[in-house]
Amino acid sequence: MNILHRLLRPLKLALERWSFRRKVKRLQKRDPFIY
Amino acid sequence: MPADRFYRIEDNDKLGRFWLKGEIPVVATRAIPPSSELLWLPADQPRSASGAYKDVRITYKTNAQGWRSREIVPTSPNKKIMFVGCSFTMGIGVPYDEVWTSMATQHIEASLGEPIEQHNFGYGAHGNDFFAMVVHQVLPILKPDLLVVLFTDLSRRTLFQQFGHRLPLLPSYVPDDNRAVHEAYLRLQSDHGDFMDFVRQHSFIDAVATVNRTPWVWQANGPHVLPHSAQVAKYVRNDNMIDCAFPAYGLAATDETMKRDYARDGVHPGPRANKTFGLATARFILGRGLCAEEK
Repeated sequence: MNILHRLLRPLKLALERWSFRRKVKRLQKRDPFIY
Repeated sequence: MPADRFYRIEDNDKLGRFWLKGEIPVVATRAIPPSSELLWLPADQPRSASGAYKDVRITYKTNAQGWRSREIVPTSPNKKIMFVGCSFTMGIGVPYDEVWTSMATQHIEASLGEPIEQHNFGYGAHGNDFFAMVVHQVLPILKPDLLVVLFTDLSRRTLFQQFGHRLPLLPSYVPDDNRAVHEAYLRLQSDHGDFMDFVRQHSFIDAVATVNRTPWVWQANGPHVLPHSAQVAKYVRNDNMIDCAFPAYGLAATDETMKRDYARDGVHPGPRANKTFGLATARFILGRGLCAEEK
């Protein structure tokens, strides 16, 4: 892994977390029911 | 339930009887016991009571297997309609006589002038895979004259972690003791996978209904649930799709009265949406002469 990948890694993780949170919010808006 | 106990396949026979041919699945729980009359459910609590049914006494009467329905008597000479769906069909926060299934049955009964039995296999929190299981198990036993399925959000899944126990997975409910499983489910979810799953469950229900020579009709519980109709038509049978979507209510509604149309729990559809869809379903069934043939 070169230095660029190493520097970008936290950014990639943050992006992944952000996109997952967005996905969950979208799904919960589409099906807001718990029953 | 002790976590270290190993559940064998035989435990399924004693507990839920899920996917077991020739048996009615048992959905009764500690919170919703079989053969009982309850005034409140975990999903419909006094603290959240509001709207048109705020002070209305709602009774949840369960049968021997825990469904909010009448007892199953396969030898009964009456015509039977079997309804399958989620909490919309179960009628959470709505008196039983005003759930869309009762509205449809009453209208058909009045039009045909003969008694018709409503068998309601609606159960909250579960998805289309669960509905396919219910049809697979119940249809050959009950032998209804008509099957009506109201599909739910395509992302819901049922997980059988142990024989005889089900864990419903749906986006908005995070089970306290299964947080990691719920996150894994959300990570695996994709809209494309959900649509393929819907096609699989729909085709399975169609096959079971065809083998048992039972006519069936269907719709989804909201206008936003399915992709556009041209895509749906390419993948599943749609000549039996009820010609009225489940009405938009609450935040999704444009009409002022529908915006306030909530059940007692403040989340589920209220009297207007249930009545509109129930009558539309009855009209669709009567218009096609389904349920009118002699037994």
